[in-house]
Amino acid sequence: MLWFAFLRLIGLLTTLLAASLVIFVVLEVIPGDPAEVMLGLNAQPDTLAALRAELGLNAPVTTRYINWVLGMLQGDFGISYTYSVPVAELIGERIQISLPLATGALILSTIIAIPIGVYSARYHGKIIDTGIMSVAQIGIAIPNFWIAILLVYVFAIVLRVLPSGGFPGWEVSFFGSLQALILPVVALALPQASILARVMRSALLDVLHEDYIRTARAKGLSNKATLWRHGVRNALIPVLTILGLQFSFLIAGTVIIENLFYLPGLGRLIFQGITQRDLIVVKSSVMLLVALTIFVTFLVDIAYAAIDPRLRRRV
Amino acid sequence: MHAKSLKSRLLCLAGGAALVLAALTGAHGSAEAKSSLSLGMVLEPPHLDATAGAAAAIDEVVYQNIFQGLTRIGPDGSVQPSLAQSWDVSEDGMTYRFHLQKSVVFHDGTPFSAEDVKFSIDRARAEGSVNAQKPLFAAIDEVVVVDPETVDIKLTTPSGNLAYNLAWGDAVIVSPKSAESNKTKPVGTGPFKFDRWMKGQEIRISRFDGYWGDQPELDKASFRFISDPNAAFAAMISGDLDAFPTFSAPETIAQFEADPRFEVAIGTTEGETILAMNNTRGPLKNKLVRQAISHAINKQALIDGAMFGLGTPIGTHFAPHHPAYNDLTGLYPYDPTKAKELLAKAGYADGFSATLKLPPPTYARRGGELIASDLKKVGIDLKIIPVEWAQWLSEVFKETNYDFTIVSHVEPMDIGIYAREKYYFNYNSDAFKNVIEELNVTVDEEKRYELLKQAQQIISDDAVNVYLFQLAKSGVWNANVKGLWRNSPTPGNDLSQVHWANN
Repeated sequence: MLWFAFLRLIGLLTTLLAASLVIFVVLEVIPGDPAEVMLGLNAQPDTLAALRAELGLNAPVTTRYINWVLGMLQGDFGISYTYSVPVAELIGERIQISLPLATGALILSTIIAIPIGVYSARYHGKIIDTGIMSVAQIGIAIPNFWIAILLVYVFAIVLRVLPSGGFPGWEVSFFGSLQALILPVVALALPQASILARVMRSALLDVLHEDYIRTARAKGLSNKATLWRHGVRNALIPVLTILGLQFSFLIAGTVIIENLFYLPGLGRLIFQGITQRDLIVVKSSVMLLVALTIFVTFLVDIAYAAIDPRLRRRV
Repeated sequence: MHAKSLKSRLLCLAGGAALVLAALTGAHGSAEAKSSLSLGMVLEPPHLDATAGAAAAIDEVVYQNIFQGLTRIGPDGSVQPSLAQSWDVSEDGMTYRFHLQKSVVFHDGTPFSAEDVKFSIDRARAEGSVNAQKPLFAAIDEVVVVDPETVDIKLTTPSGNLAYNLAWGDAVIVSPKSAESNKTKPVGTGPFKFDRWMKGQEIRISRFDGYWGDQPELDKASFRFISDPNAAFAAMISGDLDAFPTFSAPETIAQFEADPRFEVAIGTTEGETILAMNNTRGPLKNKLVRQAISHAINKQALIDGAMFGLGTPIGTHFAPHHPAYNDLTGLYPYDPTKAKELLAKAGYADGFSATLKLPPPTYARRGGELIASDLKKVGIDLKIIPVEWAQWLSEVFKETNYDFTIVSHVEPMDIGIYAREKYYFNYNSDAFKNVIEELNVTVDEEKRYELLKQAQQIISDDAVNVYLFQLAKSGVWNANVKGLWRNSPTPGNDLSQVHWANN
């Protein structure tokens, strides 16, 4: 088990290093000089040179790469070209929105999806099952930005019970900040819930054909008790896999939602960074997301190996 | 875990979530006392130092609210006194003497004096300065402090533009004490002081009690950044925002006009929107070809189709609201037949193909498609290439690697760019350069207007670019908000005169 974890850890570090190289190179080759973007159409060559020197853009490529990686290892993500504040500070502010947003959506989608999936599997093949699955199909097909626009229309414009967007900040108004996250969380959660409900349903149907279910029934357990005690618990394993995948997907997928609700989250920070050529912000935040995703995958792998000894041999 | 407990826990969670939701949706939308204003902007400023960046968004927050210059640009585009209450020009036009306002203090309590003026102007024009508009200070030879309330600016050549140039956001007066930290904590002399910046979200300012001039009526204001047009629309309609002075979605303007809660203000800007042509590339070298293209584009249809009718046709690179405007809109009327004749005369009877690189703004992306369809009718095949802004700056603007592009030039009074040695149009005309040289040393207003008109005529005759329209400023605000600028003679949201009518 330890050996397995060690090998996985080596793999993880190699992946991170490779990712940092790819991110750096990609951002090096895309056209657009940060200094030009900041100074605009009237800039003089000597002004551009002065700004480039100020931003440290004149150093050789290799030196800049090494400095960047070494800096990140010490928790120094660099200084944003445009905002002139430490990138770590920016990311810290933004994560206070993106994390509750993604977590909230994950929890809400689970709460919606699991009972629906179970219900649907229980009435497998009946009209109610077909009905629920058609709705879920629509839920998957409708993009979350469209759901977001509908939600804003109904709750902010017509009913005027929730804000149309923006974020007051946790320390300014905790209540207001919660309010501001309701519609974005729902918009993010609904498509995820649709996917999850379908996964839950099919996983449960697979499980219900297993021998131990038949055994449980033979022992005289009621249909309902069999379903919940043996069926749902075993079906949750593939559902958890999907949840793990969805979390990284949600973190990245908040870009559109954050733009629509003008929430100052991490997704929007990256988006702005790209348009303003604030490359240091883009590099460091993308790296952080990659690290987060790799880390979650690592945890999932370890957890599986802990649960299922057969997996440890398949390194 | 027992079967019952798993199920009931899930149910509990769902029930709890519903309760929280019900509790949270209650309190929104309560009435607030109106001495504050929340104002929407499309782009967030990268930082708040108006003297160190070209982004118009910086000025849209700080200009005349936090920072002030010696002079200011008024709502009508005229030059007015600000930190300088008056100025005299010497007989030879080589020295400007500025008489400063008395008892002015910066927001941190530092008193303002002539030394700050010298510091600010010398800093802006210094070698190694990152001021985005250094050419504004090109004529200045020396800044001399006469006494704490008087400053002389000595010039190398007479400059008729000086008072106007000093009114730009890039020429505002800063204090040596706070100059370096203005990017994140701006300290100026204006009626409002900076409070807080929640990055990605909003900037808050509040009334400065030590202000030297008349106190503004607003005690607080916030600038919120909403780039998505749908979100901007929802924020206005739902009342989350009080004003959106430069609204991003022209297609929704009609809806606001029909709603008595809102006032819609369509004004002018300094944005000349042009179909820029690379004057040294292929067929575009030929003046007849460029003239043919000017005839081939239906400008009014473009304004109606791409801008929902918002925009003023122009015939040259100049703002129609300026007194020196030369109306040349009749020079190249929409005439595809004439265009084909000119193309044939130039040796391109069968037309040609070229590329059209479009930056992200709506006017460019939507306009580009209409222009491509107009040009197709006369045999010119355009391949549309959408580019991001940073890519546009590097490929089109710097490397001049393009045939056609659409862009709005928003710098005020920028016709002088046609005289630059290396500018992305690759236009080169001695006649034009002579006119601009003479203009730069002319102080007499009437003579200046005459020269400006000549300059406009030359670039239009040469059809350097196709002059499409002057960008409109479409503002939307709560009908009770008074005192916001209708036009945009320079980037800025001057809040010093803004007040609520029902108070």
